[in-house]
Amino acid sequence: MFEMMVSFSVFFPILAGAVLFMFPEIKAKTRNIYTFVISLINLAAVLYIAANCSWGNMFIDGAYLGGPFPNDAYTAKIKLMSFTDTLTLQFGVDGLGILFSLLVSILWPFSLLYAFEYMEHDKRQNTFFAFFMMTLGSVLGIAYSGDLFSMYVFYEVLSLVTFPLVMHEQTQEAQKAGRQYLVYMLGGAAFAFVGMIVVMNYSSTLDFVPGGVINSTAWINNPGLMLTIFFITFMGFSVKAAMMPFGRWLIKASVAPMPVTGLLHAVAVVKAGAFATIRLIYYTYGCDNLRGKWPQYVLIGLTAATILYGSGMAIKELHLKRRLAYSTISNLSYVLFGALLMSPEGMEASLTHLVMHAVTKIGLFFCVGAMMHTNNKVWQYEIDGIGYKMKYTFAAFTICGLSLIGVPQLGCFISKLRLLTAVIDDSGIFAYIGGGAILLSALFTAIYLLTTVIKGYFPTDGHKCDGYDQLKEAGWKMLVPIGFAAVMTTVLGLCWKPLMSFLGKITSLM
Amino acid sequence: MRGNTLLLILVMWPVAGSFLMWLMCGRSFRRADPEKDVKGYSPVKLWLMTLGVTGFEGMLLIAAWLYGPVIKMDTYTIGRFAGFGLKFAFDGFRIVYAFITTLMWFCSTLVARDYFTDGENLMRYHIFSMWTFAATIGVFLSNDLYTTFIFFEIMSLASYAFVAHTEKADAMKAAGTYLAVAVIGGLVMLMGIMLLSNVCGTLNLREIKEAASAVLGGNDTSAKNKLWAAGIMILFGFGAKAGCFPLHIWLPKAHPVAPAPASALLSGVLTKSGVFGVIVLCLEIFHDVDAFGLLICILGMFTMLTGAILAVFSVDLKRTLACSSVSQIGFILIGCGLVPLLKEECTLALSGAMLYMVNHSLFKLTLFLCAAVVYMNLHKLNLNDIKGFGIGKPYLKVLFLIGALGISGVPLLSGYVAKTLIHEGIVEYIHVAGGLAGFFKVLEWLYLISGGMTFAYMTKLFYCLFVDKPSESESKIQHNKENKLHDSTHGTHADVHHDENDAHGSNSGNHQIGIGMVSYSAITAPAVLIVAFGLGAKLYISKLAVFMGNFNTFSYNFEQHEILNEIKIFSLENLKGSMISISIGIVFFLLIRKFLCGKNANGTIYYKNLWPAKLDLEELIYRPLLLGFFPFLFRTVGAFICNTLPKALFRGTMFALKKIGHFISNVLPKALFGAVMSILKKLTDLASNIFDRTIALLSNTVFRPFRHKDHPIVESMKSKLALTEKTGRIITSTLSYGMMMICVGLIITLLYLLYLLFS
Repeated sequence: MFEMMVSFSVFFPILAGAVLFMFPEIKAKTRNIYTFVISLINLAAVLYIAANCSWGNMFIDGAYLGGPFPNDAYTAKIKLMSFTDTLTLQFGVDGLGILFSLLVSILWPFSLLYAFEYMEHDKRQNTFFAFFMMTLGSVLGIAYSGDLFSMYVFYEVLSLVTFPLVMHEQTQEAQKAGRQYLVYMLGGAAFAFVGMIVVMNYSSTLDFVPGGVINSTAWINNPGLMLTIFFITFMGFSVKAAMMPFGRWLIKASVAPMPVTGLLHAVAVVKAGAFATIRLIYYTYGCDNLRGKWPQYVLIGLTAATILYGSGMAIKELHLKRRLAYSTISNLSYVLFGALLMSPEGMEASLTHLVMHAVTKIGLFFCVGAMMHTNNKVWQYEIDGIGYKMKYTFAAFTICGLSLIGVPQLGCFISKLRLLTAVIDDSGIFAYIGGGAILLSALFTAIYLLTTVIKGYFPTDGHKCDGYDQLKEAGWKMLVPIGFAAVMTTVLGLCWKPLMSFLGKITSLM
Repeated sequence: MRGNTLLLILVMWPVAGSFLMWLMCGRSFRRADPEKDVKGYSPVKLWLMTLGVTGFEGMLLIAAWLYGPVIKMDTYTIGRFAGFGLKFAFDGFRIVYAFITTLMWFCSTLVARDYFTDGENLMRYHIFSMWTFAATIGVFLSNDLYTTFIFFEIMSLASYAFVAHTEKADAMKAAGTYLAVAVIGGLVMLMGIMLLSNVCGTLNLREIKEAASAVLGGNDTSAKNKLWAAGIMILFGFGAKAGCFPLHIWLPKAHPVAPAPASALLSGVLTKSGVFGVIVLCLEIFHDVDAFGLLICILGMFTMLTGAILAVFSVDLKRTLACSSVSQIGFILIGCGLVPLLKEECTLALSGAMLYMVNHSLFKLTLFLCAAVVYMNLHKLNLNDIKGFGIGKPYLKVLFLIGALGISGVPLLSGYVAKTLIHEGIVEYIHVAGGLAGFFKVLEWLYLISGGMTFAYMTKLFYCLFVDKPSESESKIQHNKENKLHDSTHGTHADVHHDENDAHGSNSGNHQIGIGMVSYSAITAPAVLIVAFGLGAKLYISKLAVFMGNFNTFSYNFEQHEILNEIKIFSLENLKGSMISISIGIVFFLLIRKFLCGKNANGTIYYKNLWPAKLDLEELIYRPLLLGFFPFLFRTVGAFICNTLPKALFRGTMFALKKIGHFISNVLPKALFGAVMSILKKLTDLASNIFDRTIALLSNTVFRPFRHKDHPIVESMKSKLALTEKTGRIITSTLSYGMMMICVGLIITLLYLLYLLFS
């Protein structure tokens, strides 16, 4: 049953999405209910997996209450098919996978709800929702992958099913963005493929094992090769996580509809990239083997540069959506930076930021989307006084914004705190460089988000924006997801102990 | 959850009260307007509610004070709040500052009704005021640096609404500066606190002294360095809020644009929360580190001088008061810095610094509320516009005089006491300073000179308000000039400004708003305290200073207690210092009248703004650096790496691939094919030559006897033989030749295989 459920949760949304193609004339309402119910069923399946896996109990209790620690969690693999005796498509459910799958599948129904309203005037909704549902399956596939090869397969699938979503608008700009997206994604995957082949040669298995699977002889005989290949593979996976120098696609891809930008380009796709790098560092190569070597330093330098680049660009960008996209680039590198500290603390911090930023940024994107959709406000200078008309939306924007800046006891504060603590524990010069970049970037974050918030609440000299009296509040379908994000970022900031103890259990295996 | 629960209620009550206010006042952010049938809050009701909330907070304070000894606990801890826990304490210093905070909020709120007669957004003002109040109380009561940090951040963010209240362009800019300083300070402080917790293992203020001593006394150099880094970062955060040089930039910007009652709070209380942190650093963490004390003293010296000089040159009432705040914070910092330097003998300096805090809060309350009276009548703050305002207002005159003379350190007012104590501290250190004696000698003189400058600029303000004759027409001309200047610089908002100024101008010319008894009583309260503390100096020191000395693990021991009891505050020695200072002040004042003022044609005095506008730390360094240089640097470098580099990489790869592909798929095969063909041709030529010649040779020698001359085949070969003689070859183009070559090849292959097999 458990094995069935894992496969079900991955393939069911893909099939259910594909079914939509067969009914191009379906009514909007029917389709909405259909997709929503499917996402709920899938959520139920994911919850079932979490609850029945030996990891899940801890997540629910918040604290692990004695007994043998479930070391077997990562050995129980679910084989789907074998290509050769080493190359198999298989699932394996462990703590990291549960974390990511829960994050994604809890946010999915809310994003769908949001999309129903946001996409209501769109002509090609059927295609949109079909691919949107298929994306859920492939992201869960990445989360549940049991080895590097399976992850690579679902990684490619994810690139292919999200590509039509990026160019959904079908304008010239969107098509160009879509093309670029594909080039970046497939190019990155090609790098990762090279890495996978080498790992295959130097290890007996491709499975994810905490502490790495590379033979110790390979580290002794060929350290240079291993490090170079690690570097190349990391660069390949980090394309999805929008790290410098391959982060531009995220900005171009912001031509996509808001649910795509909000969910996929702040949570699912980009976090899948970060997730893959964490798998690579901690489950394939092993952080102990990599700590203190040149790839760590080079990559930390790159992430620090990306952190500053993203937030520096966000200050200058006046288009609200692109501003948030730049902010996403910056924040993704926080996650990568945490992972690159190559220590359990760093991984814990990285995963914390992965969760906190996901919840916060989806809220911010949805708020901006609500302003765009309901009132056609796209630019920073158009929103004077909007906070008094779109009360709930803008209040949520403020909460999420404050959280992202790192105001105490909101979500992202906790993760930034963890990152800084990990930096102090590491105490290396490169760690401090990254820590400094995070601090400076927090200031930039304050600048680019607070200027927006202030515009909304304190219109300069009392000049309200054009058409102030006609401004409307967004509909309930938008407000529910927005409110959920704002509440979640607050709740996670206040009650972070259960999450942290769960993450502690994951990282204690390293 | 244990301890004095009232402490938590103290911190939470204003927040709860603010919601209560909102609920009770119509649950609306709009002001009620019966004429236009707009439903909303009534300003008077809102004001009364705010007063009630603040007053109840005072009662809660008394209750908490009395309840503490009953349960024999002065702390309160929630372990589980947000995972880090909240820790509060209620000892001498904290009790006094909680009372001062409440008093200041109460007085400031009292004036608010008269002050905000025509303002909008009062609900927002009062709600944020209450949140700031709660957070400030939280900072002063906190017994754990993490708790301090949380309330510190809430305070910084909530008080943004104070500065941005008017929503005018300059207010928004100043508010931006305020927020930026607060955010940077908060972040750096957070990093410092994390480092500190990493090094010391605790953030509890009652345990940290021991932990820090252990680290500083230990042999671990890296831990020591970390502790120092942590100390500097925490100092950065608190210093930014206190207005310490070079982070004082927000004070002179924010105070003039904030409403005057809020300025009083910003200057009187919020800066003190920064000083609170500095005291913690000096008294707990670095309590015996000379270098740290020296650092604070030097920073204090710069702060003191910068503030005083800026205040002397300022021609704006509230800006002068704000710069004065910077300067006074410098005095306090010197007092704090002497604590680690003097160690056991720090009694005078510490009590001086603490009393100075109390004094300064009271002075600034009085002075800013006087400024509020000026502003609500004239809607102007420039000295040239407001001069002579106070003529014929004896009550205001007395109040302002008390504040002005108090802050200048004139004997019989409370300012004198604290100033003398810190001065005593400096003198005390000169005796034991050794190599640093020279520096502290200079510091002593700078201290006296800054005191003199305080006297000078306060007298300047007093003269301006109560002695100089008003010149309505002059000021109007002046004002119009400014307007024009304003127009040329801010083209877009020019018309709006113009209208507003015109409206205010006519307003101020025609009628003045009466100031109610309520407002006057609010200003009187601190003034009375100033006088009382000054007259009862003996009691003031021996009771209040000793009481305030109970801070965390610190309290005065018996000998220190005796020193405070025995001190002769009005001795000739001490009076001499004050007299020197005041004499210097008089000289400065005369210099101001001489060089910074001019005379109009009709004999009235006007104030010149000689301070170059470009000489502004913020505009000159911080803004270009933070908004221009850094983002630009990261953007260009980033854009190069993210844009140009991948593109170049992509194009380069494509180009290389194209060339390589062309080479491999076109040039190389062609060349290879050509080469192979030519070699083959050569080989076949050679083979056929040899073959032909052999045949020819054979047929001419061995087979000659068998040759039939008339054989038809031979006949048919004749032409070919002729060809052979011409070209030297005969059978290259025949099938049999090809078959033969294949056979040769097969034989070679076979031989090779045999070789492989047997080798």
